[in-house]
Amino acid sequence: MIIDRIRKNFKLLILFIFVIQFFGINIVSGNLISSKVLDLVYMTDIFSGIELIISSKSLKYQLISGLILIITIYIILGRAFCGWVCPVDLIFSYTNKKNKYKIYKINNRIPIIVVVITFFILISFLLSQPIFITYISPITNFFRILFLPFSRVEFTLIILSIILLLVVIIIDRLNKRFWCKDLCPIGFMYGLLNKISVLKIQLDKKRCKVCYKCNESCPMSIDILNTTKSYISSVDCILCGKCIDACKHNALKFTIKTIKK
Amino acid sequence: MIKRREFLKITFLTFLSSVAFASTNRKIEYDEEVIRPPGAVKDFSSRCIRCISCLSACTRVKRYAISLAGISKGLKNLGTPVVENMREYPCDLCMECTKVCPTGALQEIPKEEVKMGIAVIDIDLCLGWNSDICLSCSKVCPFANDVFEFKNSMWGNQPYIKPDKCVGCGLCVKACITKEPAVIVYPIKEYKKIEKEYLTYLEYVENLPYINRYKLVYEINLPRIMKIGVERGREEMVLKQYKIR
Repeated sequence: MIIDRIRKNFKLLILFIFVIQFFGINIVSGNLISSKVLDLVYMTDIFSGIELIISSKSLKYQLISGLILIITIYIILGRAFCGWVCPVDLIFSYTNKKNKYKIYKINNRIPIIVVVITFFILISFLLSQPIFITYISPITNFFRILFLPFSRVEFTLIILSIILLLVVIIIDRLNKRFWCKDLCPIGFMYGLLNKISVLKIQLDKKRCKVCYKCNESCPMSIDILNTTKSYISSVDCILCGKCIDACKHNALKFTIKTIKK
Repeated sequence: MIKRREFLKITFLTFLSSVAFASTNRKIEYDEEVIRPPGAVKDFSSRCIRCISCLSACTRVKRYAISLAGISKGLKNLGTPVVENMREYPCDLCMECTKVCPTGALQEIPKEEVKMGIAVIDIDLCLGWNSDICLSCSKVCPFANDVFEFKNSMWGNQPYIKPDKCVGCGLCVKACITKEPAVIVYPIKEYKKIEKEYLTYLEYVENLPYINRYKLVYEINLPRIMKIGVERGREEMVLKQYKIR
């Protein structure tokens, strides 16, 4: 359980860094969606940035530089954002420990997540308002609640944020990680980078005894043992390292994937 | 017939000149619907990523001017930064929030070009309009020379705020010595609605005959102001707190 413990503490450390901005220590200012780091560089979440560019129909250098920085970071790290930074994943790991993920399909060809992303992109283009960031994004809602003691916020906003965050948690209770796998466009954008990312979890098939412990431990319900390649490059892998913790034969490990091997 | 090369040349040149023209004539358009932090550009709600970094910057410099809007400011403005409660927390134009905005929704502009709203004096409540000499608002105004104008008469020193010069920072709201502030900052859109009515009322009061004005000042307005109450020394407090001049 070492990696899992490091991971959760790392998440708490990130949240701590965000909270101390209100005590005059300016490491970051903003929230996980978008911020200015060390008063020097901007960082902007990929989906939120794209949605905002589409809703505002303009390009600002702050936004572009923030997007480029985040994309370069997560080309290296893959979907580690979800596993190592996102506070909603942390909440999910406490609120839901039992249920299993059930596959839910509208159409056999098009995954739900693609429908969700096109819906939000389209609606933000038509209404010129970033709908996902404003109302639905659980990260935004979480930070509004987290920053409540340090900021003056209108009462109705907090009530709305709590309700919307609870809805997301209830969705997760009903169907484990349905939110992360099929609905969250923020995570999916990082997931796409999994296909080309450098940091990966590697499965050593010589050592593997096919005990299925890794498949059981995976919070995102990835079929680790059935991957044809030795690297796990599923869109859903959040690099949380739970499978590495669960494996008793040291068949799984973090590796840096070089281009030719 | 124009040759192709010439045609290309002409189109290229017109394109270049239009770009140059557009870049020189660029004027910032401000958000006019609600009172925003300084430098908020037009269509703010579609450009703001709701990241709270401006609020964090405002807290860091201990101004607390920015708060987050709820449903009362409209559904589309949910979670966007607004400046309300200027009586307690006005903006002193430190411009820190514009430096941290990661989307450029708050643009870095010089203080003089800020347009958050327009301050309007309630001449029924203002002591300067009702037989007193009070300079509290103009003392704390960062651009007092340009913004304020006084007309001294037997009815007081009658302050005027030039709407095109006022940046709407709200320092005067905090400094106003009547307990219910006699100066209020309106969003530009709202100001445009009341402007005509307000100006006609100003003119009406200015041109009142002596007896009517006497009755208005000494029998209606002054007793009301005394009932609301006056807090002397507010402007010293604001001058000290925000280190103006």
